[in-house]
Amino acid sequence: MIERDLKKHSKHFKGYTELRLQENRNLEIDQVNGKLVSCEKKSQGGFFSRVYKSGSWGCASRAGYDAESAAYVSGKALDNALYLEKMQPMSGRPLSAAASVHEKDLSTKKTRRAQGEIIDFLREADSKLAASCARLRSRRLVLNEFEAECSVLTSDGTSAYSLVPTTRIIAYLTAEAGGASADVFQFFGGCGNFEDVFESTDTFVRGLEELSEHLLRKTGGVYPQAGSRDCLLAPAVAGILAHEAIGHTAEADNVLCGSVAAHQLGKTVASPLISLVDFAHTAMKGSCPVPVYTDEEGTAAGDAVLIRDGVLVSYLHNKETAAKFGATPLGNARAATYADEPMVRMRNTAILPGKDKLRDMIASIEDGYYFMVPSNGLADFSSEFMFGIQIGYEVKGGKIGRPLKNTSVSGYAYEVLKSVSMVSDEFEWLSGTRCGKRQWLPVGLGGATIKCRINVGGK
Amino acid sequence: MDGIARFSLSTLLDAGMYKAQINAAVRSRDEFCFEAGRIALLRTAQSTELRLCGIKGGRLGSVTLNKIDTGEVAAAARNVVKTSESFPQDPFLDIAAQQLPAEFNNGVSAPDRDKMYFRLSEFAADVKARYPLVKLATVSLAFNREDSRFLNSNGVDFKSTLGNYEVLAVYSSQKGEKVSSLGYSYFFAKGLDRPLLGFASCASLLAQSSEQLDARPVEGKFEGDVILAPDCAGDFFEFVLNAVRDSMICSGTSVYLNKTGSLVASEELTFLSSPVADEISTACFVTSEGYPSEEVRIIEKGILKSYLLSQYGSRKTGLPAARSDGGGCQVLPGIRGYQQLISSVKRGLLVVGFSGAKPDNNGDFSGVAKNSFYIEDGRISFPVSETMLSGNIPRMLLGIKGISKERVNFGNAVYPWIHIGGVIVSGK
Repeated sequence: MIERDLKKHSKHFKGYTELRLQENRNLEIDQVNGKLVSCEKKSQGGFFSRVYKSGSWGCASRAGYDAESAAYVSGKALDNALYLEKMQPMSGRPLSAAASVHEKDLSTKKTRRAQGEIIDFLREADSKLAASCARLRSRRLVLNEFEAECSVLTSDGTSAYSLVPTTRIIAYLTAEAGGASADVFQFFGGCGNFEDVFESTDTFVRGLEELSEHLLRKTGGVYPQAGSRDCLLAPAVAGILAHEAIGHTAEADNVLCGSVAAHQLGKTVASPLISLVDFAHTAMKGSCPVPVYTDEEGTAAGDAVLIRDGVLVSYLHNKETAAKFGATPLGNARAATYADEPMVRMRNTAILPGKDKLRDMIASIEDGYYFMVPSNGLADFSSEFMFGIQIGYEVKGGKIGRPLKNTSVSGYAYEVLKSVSMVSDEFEWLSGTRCGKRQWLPVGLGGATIKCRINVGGK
Repeated sequence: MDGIARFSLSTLLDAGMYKAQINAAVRSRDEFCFEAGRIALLRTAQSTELRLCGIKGGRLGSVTLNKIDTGEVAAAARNVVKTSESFPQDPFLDIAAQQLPAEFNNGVSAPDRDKMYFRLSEFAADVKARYPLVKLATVSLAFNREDSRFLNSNGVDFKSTLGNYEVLAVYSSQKGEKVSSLGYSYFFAKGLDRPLLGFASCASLLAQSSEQLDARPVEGKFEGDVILAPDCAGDFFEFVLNAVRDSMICSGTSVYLNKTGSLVASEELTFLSSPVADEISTACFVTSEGYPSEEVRIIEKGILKSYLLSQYGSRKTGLPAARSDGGGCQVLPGIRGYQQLISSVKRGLLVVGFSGAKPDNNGDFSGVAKNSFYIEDGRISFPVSETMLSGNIPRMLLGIKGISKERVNFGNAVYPWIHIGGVIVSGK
């Protein structure tokens, strides 16, 4: 446990100052075909300070937990801010104030399982999977339990503490059939320590078996036809679209740097069937995969609605961009490690469910594809995106057809969202994902299945 | 660090491990960051990392931490023992053999802050003056220093010191409401003796960014040639690196399994890992297992010469180990000029960036050509958008039609332009 209350260090503050003590702890266990290949514990922590002077920031971090380290980073951050103030004199806008006093400890209240028990859990899951899916050539399960523990003190009155654990298992499966092989990987897990997320092997193994069935079909997969097609994007794929191609363009720091969303506020950017929200901690009457109650600038977190009924209604902000845009910061300033400065980031981004039934959506497609499991995703300021697809099927004459080999899809997100003609009434999170905007952070993404027109890579 | 590294080694042995290895590093980073029209941030970061690794009875345990005090190290050593007890016995595990102690140094030892500020301001001003449509999203200029120590219970004792400058510039071009795709320049350098625009391919990429404002999709679908620019060649050679490492060779899933000595690429291609070459600013002196790094020719004149197996992978497969973790990749220069390569393309693309999914184990890939240009009848015709590529990397390497004499040094890798045939290009 780290020091929760940093107030005694406020004597070092001069002007707007943030002081943060953060420790990230990882347990990673890698098992291949039931055999442990690595098991490693890592911890990384220390103090970070940031000082705002005349529109620029001085920052400093140090891998130490003591009072001397707190004094060092506060002093060094001030020196750095003064250096920039001297070199480029200018006037800075005051930051939006968003003081909060908050404590949130989401660590498990159950008895902690020993490392050996967690390894046994993975072995048991693997053994059940091997027994039920004999045609799998290799099974790799990588468990990662991650705890981010953070105390924040700011000169404008925030004193916050949070401990947020997330646990995921990445399953990498390879199958062979008829001389052909295919691979897939998928994340399982969510918010909480291992004991809370993986109570028994049964639910987890059911998920693995379902993935294996898709994989075995994929060994006989075909290449999709390249070109523009009517497609269904399952929640995991639509969630990546929401995050990568819309969410990032609507981050206010990216807007200031010229993202395509800079000219779209208040305009129709999507079908009226589309509403898109970056949730803070709670959605659809449940906890989000990555709950954020107070961000690393000390702002109490709330939901940020980006698109309402097809219209872009707001951006995501930190204190600095909120002041520039005259907006209210909602807890989107996040930092990955003790050494990182808070940046405008998403938390849990999703397309809200509509009214359509999935079966009707499939029936409505004459010649297209149903993309179910993504691999990775990338997008840029123009909203042009690319997502890898690992599991997908042809849709012919309103019916699910042959399985697909790996492929990728692309397009301009705002155009693709304008082409949306149906949105399913179901809602699902894709857990265990990470976003890499200069710092790797856990994020949640998901939503409903959407029907749209999209470019497909293939033969 | 010297004291804590030695204390960690003896603590691991005292805790009961038969063999022990310590990797310790102290790092510092000084970084200026330009954003939204001004230098928005100056950062000083100090970090430490200590990895304790031990083997007992063929079982491995390891813990990584950054709390460097004797109490934490003692607790970590107990954790290493505990972790190893969960491990199955593996007869191939070992630590590096005894070698003479050595010290390695590369780069300057401290940053020149005023020069960093000057070079970054100069870069912002140069870009504004020479590329008026370009808007800098963020430019980071950092100085990295790392002092590291490698010790093991066989008597291996290496010290290394590395200093380098690291630059990342991210930008797009804008005209009214039109926005081009993001462009990136990322490189390392040992010093700041010239303006940042003079490094890597920075100037040419910035010039191309404005042309991308008028990008349009290629019409239809065709099989054609692509010229991979140095800026994206590494994305494709990453597949080769992965295919010759422990994981894919030991698991038998590599397309290059049992292919050493065979032709796997055009005879014009020589691909190597050169972690301590003069032109590499991110030198890696000691492998993760504790051997001095050496140049490894992975593909020479089209022939697969070596895998990148560790000592562990070598013991497991009975194949030779390579003394490189895979850094400092280079493709050696070809015999034709860049312009000759372009002139020889009937119909295809100059691919400057590639955004793709991870290739399959067999090398099949697909993705979007970014910041790229359509080539027809030997001339660059127009910038493209929404244009996808698909193909197979091992077949691409065999189908290389030419490699340019000119190369770009990114400080961590050096690549030329590479002309390849038989890639599926699909637009709208």
